[in-house]
Amino acid sequence: MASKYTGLREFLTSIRLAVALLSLIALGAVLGTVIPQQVEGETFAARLHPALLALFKALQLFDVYHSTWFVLLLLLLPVNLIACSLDRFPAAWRQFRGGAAPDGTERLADLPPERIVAADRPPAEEASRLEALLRKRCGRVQKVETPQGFVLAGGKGAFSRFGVFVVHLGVLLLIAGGLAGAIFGVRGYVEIAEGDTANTMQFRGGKGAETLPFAIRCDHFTVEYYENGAPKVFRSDLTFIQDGKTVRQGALLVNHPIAFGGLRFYQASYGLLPGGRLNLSYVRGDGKANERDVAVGDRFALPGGEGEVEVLRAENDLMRMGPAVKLSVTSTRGNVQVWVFQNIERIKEANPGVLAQVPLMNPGLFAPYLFSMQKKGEGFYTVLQAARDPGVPLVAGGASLLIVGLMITFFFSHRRFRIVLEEEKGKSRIGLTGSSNRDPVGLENEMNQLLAEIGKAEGHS
Amino acid sequence: MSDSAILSGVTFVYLLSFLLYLVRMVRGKEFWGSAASWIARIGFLLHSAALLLRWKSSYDLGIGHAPLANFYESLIFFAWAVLLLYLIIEWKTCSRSLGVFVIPVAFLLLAFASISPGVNDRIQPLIPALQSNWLTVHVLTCFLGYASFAMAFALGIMYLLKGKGQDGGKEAGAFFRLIPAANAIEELLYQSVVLGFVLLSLGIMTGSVWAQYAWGSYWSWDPKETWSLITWIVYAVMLHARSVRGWRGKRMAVMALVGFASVLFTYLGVNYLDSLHSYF
Ligand code: HEM
Repeated sequence: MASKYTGLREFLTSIRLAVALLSLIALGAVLGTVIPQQVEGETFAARLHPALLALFKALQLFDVYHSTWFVLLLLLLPVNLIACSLDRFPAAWRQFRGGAAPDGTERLADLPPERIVAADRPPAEEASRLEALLRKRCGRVQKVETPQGFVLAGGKGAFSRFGVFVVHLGVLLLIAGGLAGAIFGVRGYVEIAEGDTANTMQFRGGKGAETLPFAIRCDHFTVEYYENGAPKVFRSDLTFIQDGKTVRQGALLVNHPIAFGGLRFYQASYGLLPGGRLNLSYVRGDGKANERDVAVGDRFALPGGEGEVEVLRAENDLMRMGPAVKLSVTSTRGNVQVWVFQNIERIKEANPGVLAQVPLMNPGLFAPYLFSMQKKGEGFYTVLQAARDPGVPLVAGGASLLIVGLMITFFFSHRRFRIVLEEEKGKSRIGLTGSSNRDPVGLENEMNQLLAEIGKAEGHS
Repeated sequence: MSDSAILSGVTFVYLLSFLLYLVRMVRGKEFWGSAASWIARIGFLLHSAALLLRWKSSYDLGIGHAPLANFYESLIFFAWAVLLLYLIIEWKTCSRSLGVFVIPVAFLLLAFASISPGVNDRIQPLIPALQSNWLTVHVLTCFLGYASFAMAFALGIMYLLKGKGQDGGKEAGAFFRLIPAANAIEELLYQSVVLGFVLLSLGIMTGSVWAQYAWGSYWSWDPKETWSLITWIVYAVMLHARSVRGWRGKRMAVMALVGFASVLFTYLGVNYLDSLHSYF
């Protein structure tokens, strides 16, 4: 029983497993980018040899990122990471607290001769000077008396032992944040024609829509170009409206998102409305004229309740007769379709009797209403990307920890020094040893420097 | 004189420097090495001047931005970073043996930038998505990281050659004698990977911040992003493998080659998969 658990524990805490997991995850990612995935994979699959196809299917290579084995690897990684960190933390803590203290058995005879210098005063006096010297470098210094003299010990950069744990905590937070985003995040688009107001967010990939508790009006959309024709600025001037009141106004540009109502909005793309923006006016009998800005797809009810109008098409120049819009009016009388021309007066002048011959061109076809239209320049619609991702703070925190942890791990090291003093004919011989958890070259340099300081002060006496 | 004309010239300066480093290795005379170093330094100064000139020209054109915004500019910055790191290493280690392996990398990058017809050397204005300081930091950190990995790659080749040279026994000529001791190469290789790993981590992170501002998503699994993650993992594996018994030495050298292959694929190969980042 116990041995079975020990085996599992050894497996989960081993760095070999980490190496294997990371390698396999990288391999999976390579396959996922090289083999066409999901829908694209189907055409590719048709070209494969049946045996190869069976193998690919068995290994779920047409949807690597959602395959059982890839997901298992991704789940095992944090388990490995946590197990490994818990397993090693106590040892790191002990090292941080100072590691093994000098036990008084250190001897000069064990040191290489180039690390030993001679001093004029007896060990007791030299020891207090060297203790101050070492304290300047290391903070706390341990001093042990030996039959021959003294041993001084000090360390610096002990905190760097924790760098690796900070890195790994960062990795865990990144994974957690990514997961939180994938599960609880929302991502969609809001499309608004210039001048219009919208409150529906279309989810990505055609997975339904959500009605927002506020509305966004696109007051203006601007695109500017450089001389060479490349785009320079995409900008939507937006108004956020809640309960009929303007709550916020702002310009949305690429790289300058706007946060509102728990969502962040980004300038994602834009387009030209087919036929541009138009103003439609309609008069009932000899009553008051109604006007409204419309775009293709818009629907509205006629003021007398006689029916509903839908804007079917808009053309900048229909049959060389100028701008026109096709309306469909649905009522209890059935469905009537009509093309409303901007230049209807001029058309009538040039072709007398045309309305009688082509009823489809008669703006008064749906009596008692008379329609007319006016084109209003080029119309744009803007596409805002909207996102809510509760994982972002975790990811940002994880990434910061990762970077800070890497700096701690790689740019600092835990260096420990020991100074051994032995009495020789009323004078001292002083030796230096050092150890470090990384960067042997840096340690060597610092030891040389320290040894020079140990030797230098001796000149003053 | 335009910056691209200077850079074409610098390409040949690096070629000359490489040839001199090679002569040094074959002849074993430090005179050639010293000449090679000086030529490399002059090339680097000209290279730096061309970068500054290009930067200034973009402002004169009214579309000012740091020269880190398109494929051509990334190539020349990559080459510049390779030289920068190499010259620092040469100065710090007082050894010129790496030059013969590293200078050709910079030469090839510049040659590709100048000669390849697919690479547009015009200064282009920034389209809206690229108008971000995060872009500058992103490119800067990524390519400094790539340059560190190029050092590790060159050191890896040197390490493997050293192994071969030792098999040659006494006949091994000046070339092999001038290659430093295996453990010194290995330590430097490790340091280069460490530096590259930190810079690449920063590069991926700043890229994500930029994507978060520009597209509302810090990560979209597009092929370039996925490949930068693959590269990052390859080097993470390398750092961990060092702690597994028996993985030091030759295997590390081989992994430095694998890692750099992954870097090159992330940089160039991904253009053949479709991607937001595609340069062509
Ligand atoms: C993407 C994931 C990971 C990253 C970015 C990462 C990063 C690092 C880094 C930068 C180091 C310092 C290496 C060095 O000192 O040269 C390190 C060390 C270490 N990592 Fe990871 N790591 C990851 C996953 C893991 C996992 C899954 C384990 C599970 C066992 C693990 C276990 C260790 C251990 C034990 C060390 C200390 C090695 C030593 O002291 O020599 N790491 N890691």
